[in-house]
Amino acid sequence: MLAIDVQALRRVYKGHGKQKEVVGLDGISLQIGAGEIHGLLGPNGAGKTTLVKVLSTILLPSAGQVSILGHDVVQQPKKVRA
Amino acid sequence: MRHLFAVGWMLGVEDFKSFWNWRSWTFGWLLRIVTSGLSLVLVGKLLGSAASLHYLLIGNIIISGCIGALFAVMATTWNRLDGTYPLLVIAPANLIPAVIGRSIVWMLQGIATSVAVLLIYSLIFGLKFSALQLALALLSIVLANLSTYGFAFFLGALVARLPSMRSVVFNSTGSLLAAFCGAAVPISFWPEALGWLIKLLPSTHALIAMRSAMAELEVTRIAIELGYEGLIALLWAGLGAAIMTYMVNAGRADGSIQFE
Repeated sequence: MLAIDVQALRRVYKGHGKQKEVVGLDGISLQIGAGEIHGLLGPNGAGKTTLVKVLSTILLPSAGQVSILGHDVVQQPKKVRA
Repeated sequence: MRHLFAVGWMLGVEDFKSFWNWRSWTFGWLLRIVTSGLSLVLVGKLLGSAASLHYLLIGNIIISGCIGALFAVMATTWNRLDGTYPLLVIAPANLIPAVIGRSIVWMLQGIATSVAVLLIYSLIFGLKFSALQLALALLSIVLANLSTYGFAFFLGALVARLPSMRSVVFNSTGSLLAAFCGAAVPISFWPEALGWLIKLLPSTHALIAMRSAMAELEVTRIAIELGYEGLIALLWAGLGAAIMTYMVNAGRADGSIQFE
Protein backbone atom coordinates (compact mmCIF):
# COMPACT_ATOMS: atom_id res chain seq x y z
CA MET A 1 0.00 0.00 0.00
CA LEU A 2 1.17 3.53 -0.76
CA ALA A 3 1.85 5.76 2.23
CA ILE A 4 1.07 8.86 0.17
CA ASP A 5 -0.86 8.92 -3.08
CA VAL A 6 -1.43 12.29 -4.75
CA GLN A 7 -3.26 12.54 -8.06
CA ALA A 8 -3.53 15.81 -10.06
CA LEU A 9 -3.63 17.89 -6.87
CA ARG A 10 -4.57 21.53 -7.29
CA ARG A 11 -4.88 24.06 -4.50
CA VAL A 12 -6.03 27.61 -5.13
CA TYR A 13 -6.08 30.40 -2.54
CA LYS A 14 -8.98 32.71 -3.21
CA GLY A 15 -8.10 36.40 -3.19
CA HIS A 16 -9.68 38.76 -0.66
CA GLY A 17 -11.04 42.04 -2.00
CA LYS A 18 -8.83 43.25 -4.84
CA GLN A 19 -6.28 40.44 -4.33
CA LYS A 20 -6.14 37.96 -7.19
CA GLU A 21 -6.42 34.27 -6.46
CA VAL A 22 -3.13 32.44 -6.07
CA VAL A 23 -2.49 28.96 -7.41
CA GLY A 24 -0.44 27.17 -4.72
CA LEU A 25 -0.35 23.76 -6.38
CA ASP A 26 -1.22 22.99 -9.98
CA GLY A 27 -1.62 19.35 -10.98
CA ILE A 28 0.85 17.66 -8.62
CA SER A 29 0.99 13.87 -8.71
CA LEU A 30 3.26 11.70 -6.61
CA GLN A 31 3.34 8.32 -4.94
CA ILE A 32 5.43 7.43 -1.91
CA GLY A 33 5.57 3.89 -0.59
CA ALA A 34 5.53 2.98 3.10
CA GLY A 35 8.97 3.30 4.68
CA GLU A 36 10.45 5.42 1.87
CA ILE A 37 12.25 8.66 2.70
CA HIS A 38 12.17 11.59 0.27
CA GLY A 39 13.17 15.24 0.33
CA LEU A 40 10.88 18.03 -0.86
CA LEU A 41 12.83 20.84 -2.53
CA GLY A 42 11.69 23.98 -4.28
CA PRO A 43 12.04 27.80 -4.28
CA ASN A 44 9.88 30.13 -2.20
CA GLY A 45 6.27 29.91 -3.31
CA ALA A 46 6.73 26.55 -5.01
CA GLY A 47 3.98 25.04 -2.83
CA LYS A 48 6.00 22.81 -0.47
CA THR A 49 4.17 23.99 2.64
CA THR A 50 0.82 23.90 0.86
CA LEU A 51 1.44 20.28 -0.13
CA VAL A 52 2.32 19.31 3.44
CA LYS A 53 -0.77 21.15 4.73
CA VAL A 54 -3.00 19.21 2.36
CA LEU A 55 -1.30 15.93 3.34
CA SER A 56 -1.80 16.71 7.03
CA THR A 57 -5.50 17.70 6.47
CA ILE A 58 -5.07 21.33 7.48
CA LEU A 59 -6.11 22.42 3.99
CA LEU A 60 -8.56 20.80 1.59
CA PRO A 61 -7.56 20.27 -2.04
CA SER A 62 -9.29 22.50 -4.61
CA ALA A 63 -9.13 19.61 -7.08
CA GLY A 64 -7.50 16.20 -7.41
CA GLN A 65 -7.23 13.30 -4.98
CA VAL A 66 -4.97 12.75 -1.98
CA SER A 67 -4.88 9.68 0.22
CA ILE A 68 -2.70 8.67 3.14
CA LEU A 69 -2.38 4.91 3.76
CA GLY A 70 -5.47 4.49 1.58
CA HIS A 71 -7.56 7.06 3.45
CA ASP A 72 -8.85 10.05 1.50
CA VAL A 73 -7.96 13.40 3.13
CA VAL A 74 -11.33 14.88 2.16
CA GLN A 75 -13.67 11.98 2.92
CA GLN A 76 -11.80 10.39 5.84
CA PRO A 77 -9.79 13.10 7.64
CA LYS A 78 -10.26 11.45 11.06
CA LYS A 79 -8.73 8.19 9.80
CA VAL A 80 -5.83 10.11 8.26
CA ARG A 81 -5.17 11.83 11.61
CA ALA A 82 -5.52 8.69 13.75
CA MET B 1 -11.02 13.49 25.48
CA ARG B 2 -10.60 13.94 29.23
CA HIS B 3 -6.85 14.21 28.78
CA LEU B 4 -7.30 16.85 26.09
CA PHE B 5 -9.58 18.85 28.39
CA ALA B 6 -7.02 18.54 31.20
CA VAL B 7 -4.21 19.80 28.96
CA GLY B 8 -6.42 22.68 27.80
CA TRP B 9 -7.26 23.43 31.44
CA MET B 10 -3.56 23.60 32.39
CA LEU B 11 -2.99 26.04 29.52
CA GLY B 12 -6.03 28.06 30.65
CA VAL B 13 -4.65 28.32 34.18
CA GLU B 14 -1.35 29.57 32.75
CA ASP B 15 -3.28 32.11 30.62
CA PHE B 16 -5.03 33.29 33.78
CA LYS B 17 -1.75 33.55 35.70
CA SER B 18 -0.15 35.54 32.89
CA PHE B 19 -3.18 37.84 32.80
CA TRP B 20 -3.60 38.44 36.55
CA ASN B 21 -1.79 37.97 39.83
CA TRP B 22 -3.72 38.17 43.10
CA ARG B 23 -2.95 41.89 43.49
CA SER B 24 -4.01 42.89 39.99
CA TRP B 25 -7.10 40.66 40.18
CA THR B 26 -8.18 42.07 43.57
CA PHE B 27 -7.19 45.72 43.26
CA GLY B 28 -7.49 46.00 39.49
CA TRP B 29 -10.25 43.77 38.22
CA LEU B 30 -12.43 43.32 41.31
CA LEU B 31 -12.10 46.91 42.51
CA ARG B 32 -12.97 48.16 39.03
CA ILE B 33 -16.03 45.92 38.83
CA VAL B 34 -17.20 46.83 42.34
CA THR B 35 -16.74 50.58 41.86
CA SER B 36 -18.36 50.68 38.41
CA GLY B 37 -21.24 48.61 39.79
CA LEU B 38 -21.50 50.88 42.82
CA SER B 39 -21.83 53.98 40.65
CA LEU B 40 -24.90 52.39 39.07
CA VAL B 41 -26.28 51.02 42.33
CA LEU B 42 -25.97 54.44 43.97
CA VAL B 43 -28.41 55.77 41.37
CA GLY B 44 -30.96 53.55 43.11
CA LYS B 45 -29.90 55.06 46.45
CA LEU B 46 -30.23 58.60 45.08
CA LEU B 47 -33.72 57.80 43.85
CA GLY B 48 -34.57 57.13 47.48
CA SER B 49 -36.26 53.89 46.51
CA ALA B 50 -35.30 50.78 48.48
CA ALA B 51 -36.84 48.62 45.73
CA SER B 52 -34.70 50.28 43.00
CA LEU B 53 -31.59 49.94 45.14
CA HIS B 54 -32.31 46.26 45.77
CA TYR B 55 -33.05 45.67 42.07
CA LEU B 56 -29.74 47.20 41.00
CA LEU B 57 -27.80 45.39 43.74
CA ILE B 58 -29.03 41.95 42.63
CA GLY B 59 -28.55 42.84 38.97
CA ASN B 60 -24.98 43.93 39.57
CA ILE B 61 -24.09 40.87 41.61
CA ILE B 62 -25.04 38.64 38.68
CA ILE B 63 -23.85 40.79 35.78
CA SER B 64 -20.44 41.58 37.29
CA GLY B 65 -19.63 37.87 37.21
CA CYS B 66 -20.98 37.50 33.71
CA ILE B 67 -18.57 40.18 32.49
CA GLY B 68 -15.77 38.12 34.07
CA ALA B 69 -16.99 34.97 32.32
CA LEU B 70 -17.09 36.81 28.98
CA PHE B 71 -13.27 36.81 28.97
CA ALA B 72 -13.85 33.37 27.43
CA VAL B 73 -14.73 35.14 24.14
CA MET B 74 -11.11 36.27 23.94
CA ALA B 75 -9.68 33.03 25.30
CA THR B 76 -11.49 31.05 22.59
CA THR B 77 -9.60 33.00 19.93
CA TRP B 78 -6.15 32.73 21.53
CA ASN B 79 -5.41 29.42 19.81
CA ARG B 80 -5.73 31.29 16.50
CA LEU B 81 -3.28 33.96 17.62
CA ASP B 82 -0.81 31.44 19.09
CA GLY B 83 -0.79 29.48 15.84
CA THR B 84 -1.83 26.31 17.68
CA TYR B 85 -5.29 26.22 16.06
CA PRO B 86 -4.31 24.27 12.91
CA LEU B 87 -2.30 21.86 15.05
CA LEU B 88 -5.34 21.20 17.24
CA VAL B 89 -7.45 20.69 14.12
CA ILE B 90 -5.17 18.00 12.69
CA ALA B 91 -4.69 16.24 16.02
CA PRO B 92 -6.41 12.83 16.20
CA ALA B 93 -8.60 14.10 19.07
CA ASN B 94 -11.50 16.55 18.94
CA LEU B 95 -10.63 20.25 18.99
CA ILE B 96 -13.58 21.32 21.15
CA PRO B 97 -12.59 19.80 24.55
CA ALA B 98 -9.18 21.45 24.23
CA VAL B 99 -10.73 24.86 23.52
CA ILE B 100 -13.26 24.46 26.36
CA GLY B 101 -10.51 23.28 28.71
CA ARG B 102 -8.47 26.39 27.93
CA SER B 103 -11.32 28.90 28.22
CA ILE B 104 -13.44 27.57 31.10
CA VAL B 105 -11.14 29.07 33.72
CA TRP B 106 -12.82 32.40 32.88
CA MET B 107 -16.18 31.01 33.96
CA LEU B 108 -14.61 30.39 37.38
CA GLN B 109 -13.39 33.98 37.33
CA GLY B 110 -17.00 35.02 36.77
CA ILE B 111 -18.28 32.93 39.67
CA ALA B 112 -15.54 34.23 41.99
CA THR B 113 -16.31 37.82 40.93
CA SER B 114 -20.05 37.48 41.56
CA VAL B 115 -19.50 35.85 44.97
CA ALA B 116 -17.02 38.57 45.96
CA VAL B 117 -19.41 41.32 44.81
CA LEU B 118 -22.24 39.65 46.74
CA LEU B 119 -20.12 39.66 49.90
CA ILE B 120 -19.00 43.28 49.44
CA TYR B 121 -22.50 44.59 48.66
CA SER B 122 -23.91 42.62 51.60
CA LEU B 123 -21.42 44.34 53.89
CA ILE B 124 -22.00 47.81 52.44
CA PHE B 125 -25.77 47.72 51.98
CA GLY B 126 -26.70 45.20 54.67
CA LEU B 127 -28.19 42.56 52.35
CA LYS B 128 -29.54 39.70 54.46
CA PHE B 129 -29.96 36.11 53.29
CA SER B 130 -31.56 33.08 54.91
CA ALA B 131 -29.65 29.82 54.37
CA LEU B 132 -32.06 28.83 51.56
CA GLN B 133 -31.85 32.26 49.92
CA LEU B 134 -28.07 32.13 50.04
CA ALA B 135 -28.02 28.64 48.51
CA LEU B 136 -30.38 29.73 45.72
CA ALA B 137 -28.39 32.92 45.16
CA LEU B 138 -25.17 30.93 44.82
CA LEU B 139 -26.87 28.47 42.46
CA SER B 140 -28.16 31.40 40.39
CA ILE B 141 -24.63 32.81 40.23
CA VAL B 142 -23.14 29.49 39.11
CA LEU B 143 -25.79 28.93 36.43
CA ALA B 144 -25.64 32.54 35.18
CA ASN B 145 -21.90 32.17 34.71
CA LEU B 146 -22.30 28.74 33.11
CA SER B 147 -24.73 30.08 30.52
CA THR B 148 -22.63 33.21 29.99
CA TYR B 149 -19.66 30.94 29.40
CA GLY B 150 -21.72 28.96 26.85
CA PHE B 151 -22.64 32.24 25.14
CA ALA B 152 -19.01 33.41 25.22
CA PHE B 153 -17.92 30.10 23.68
CA PHE B 154 -20.49 30.62 20.90
CA LEU B 155 -19.29 34.20 20.29
CA GLY B 156 -15.66 33.07 20.45
CA ALA B 157 -16.36 30.41 17.81
CA LEU B 158 -17.80 33.13 15.56
CA VAL B 159 -15.03 35.61 16.28
CA ALA B 160 -12.32 32.98 15.64
CA ARG B 161 -12.68 33.94 11.99
CA LEU B 162 -11.92 37.59 12.84
CA PRO B 163 -9.79 37.49 16.02
CA SER B 164 -9.08 41.24 15.84
CA MET B 165 -12.75 41.78 16.78
CA ARG B 166 -12.49 39.83 20.05
CA SER B 167 -12.19 42.83 22.40
CA VAL B 168 -15.00 44.71 20.65
CA VAL B 169 -17.29 41.69 20.98
CA PHE B 170 -16.25 41.14 24.62
CA ASN B 171 -16.94 44.74 25.67
CA SER B 172 -20.12 45.28 23.70
CA THR B 173 -21.63 41.96 24.83
CA GLY B 174 -21.14 42.87 28.50
CA SER B 175 -23.00 46.14 27.97
CA LEU B 176 -25.76 44.46 25.96
CA LEU B 177 -26.30 41.81 28.62
CA ALA B 178 -26.44 44.45 31.36
CA ALA B 179 -29.02 46.38 29.35
CA PHE B 180 -31.26 43.57 28.13
CA CYS B 181 -31.25 40.65 30.54
CA GLY B 182 -32.82 42.49 33.46
CA ALA B 183 -29.70 43.44 35.41
CA ALA B 184 -30.10 47.21 35.36
CA VAL B 185 -33.18 47.75 33.21
CA PRO B 186 -36.38 45.77 33.92
CA ILE B 187 -37.23 43.37 31.10
CA SER B 188 -40.72 44.87 30.97
CA PHE B 189 -39.16 48.13 29.72
CA TRP B 190 -38.28 46.53 26.37
CA PRO B 191 -40.82 45.95 23.57
CA GLU B 192 -42.66 42.64 23.90
CA ALA B 193 -41.34 41.55 20.52
CA LEU B 194 -37.86 41.33 22.07
CA GLY B 195 -39.14 39.13 24.91
CA TRP B 196 -38.28 35.76 23.36
CA LEU B 197 -34.81 36.99 22.43
CA ILE B 198 -34.18 38.29 25.94
CA LYS B 199 -35.23 34.94 27.38
CA LEU B 200 -32.55 33.26 25.26
CA LEU B 201 -29.84 35.52 26.65
CA PRO B 202 -27.61 34.17 29.40
CA SER B 203 -28.35 35.26 32.98
CA THR B 204 -31.93 36.46 32.29
CA HIS B 205 -33.49 33.45 34.04
CA ALA B 206 -30.83 33.36 36.78
CA LEU B 207 -31.66 36.98 37.59
CA ILE B 208 -35.38 36.17 37.78
CA ALA B 209 -34.51 33.19 40.02
CA MET B 210 -32.33 35.23 42.36
CA ARG B 211 -34.86 38.05 42.60
CA SER B 212 -37.59 35.46 43.27
CA ALA B 213 -35.43 33.84 45.97
CA MET B 214 -34.88 37.22 47.64
CA ALA B 215 -38.64 37.87 47.49
CA GLU B 216 -39.22 34.43 49.08
CA LEU B 217 -41.36 33.20 46.19
CA GLU B 218 -42.09 29.49 45.63
CA VAL B 219 -39.02 27.31 45.33
CA THR B 220 -40.62 25.41 42.42
CA ARG B 221 -40.85 28.61 40.36
CA ILE B 222 -37.25 29.41 41.18
CA ALA B 223 -36.17 25.87 40.25
CA ILE B 224 -37.91 26.20 36.87
CA GLU B 225 -36.05 29.45 36.11
CA LEU B 226 -32.76 27.85 37.14
CA GLY B 227 -33.58 24.89 34.89
CA TYR B 228 -34.15 27.28 31.97
CA GLU B 229 -30.81 28.92 32.71
CA GLY B 230 -29.10 25.51 32.53
CA LEU B 231 -30.82 24.79 29.21
CA ILE B 232 -29.71 28.17 27.84
CA ALA B 233 -26.12 27.23 28.79
CA LEU B 234 -26.43 23.95 26.87
CA LEU B 235 -28.05 25.69 23.90
CA TRP B 236 -25.28 28.28 23.46
CA ALA B 237 -22.46 25.80 24.14
CA GLY B 238 -23.99 23.38 21.60
CA LEU B 239 -24.36 26.14 19.02
CA GLY B 240 -20.79 27.21 19.74
CA ALA B 241 -19.52 23.67 19.12
CA ALA B 242 -21.50 23.46 15.86
CA ILE B 243 -20.20 26.84 14.67
CA MET B 244 -16.63 25.91 15.60
CA THR B 245 -16.88 22.66 13.62
CA TYR B 246 -18.33 24.56 10.65
CA MET B 247 -15.60 27.21 10.87
CA VAL B 248 -12.89 24.54 10.92
CA ASN B 249 -14.28 22.89 7.78
CA ALA B 250 -14.77 26.25 6.05
CA GLY B 251 -11.26 27.29 7.11
CA ARG B 252 -9.78 24.11 5.62
CA ALA B 253 -11.50 24.92 2.33
CA ASP B 254 -10.62 28.62 2.05
CA GLY B 255 -7.27 28.59 3.87
CA SER B 256 -8.40 30.88 6.72
CA ILE B 257 -7.50 28.18 9.26
CA GLN B 258 -3.84 29.11 9.04
CA PHE B 259 -1.82 31.51 11.20
CA GLU B 260 -3.37 34.91 11.82
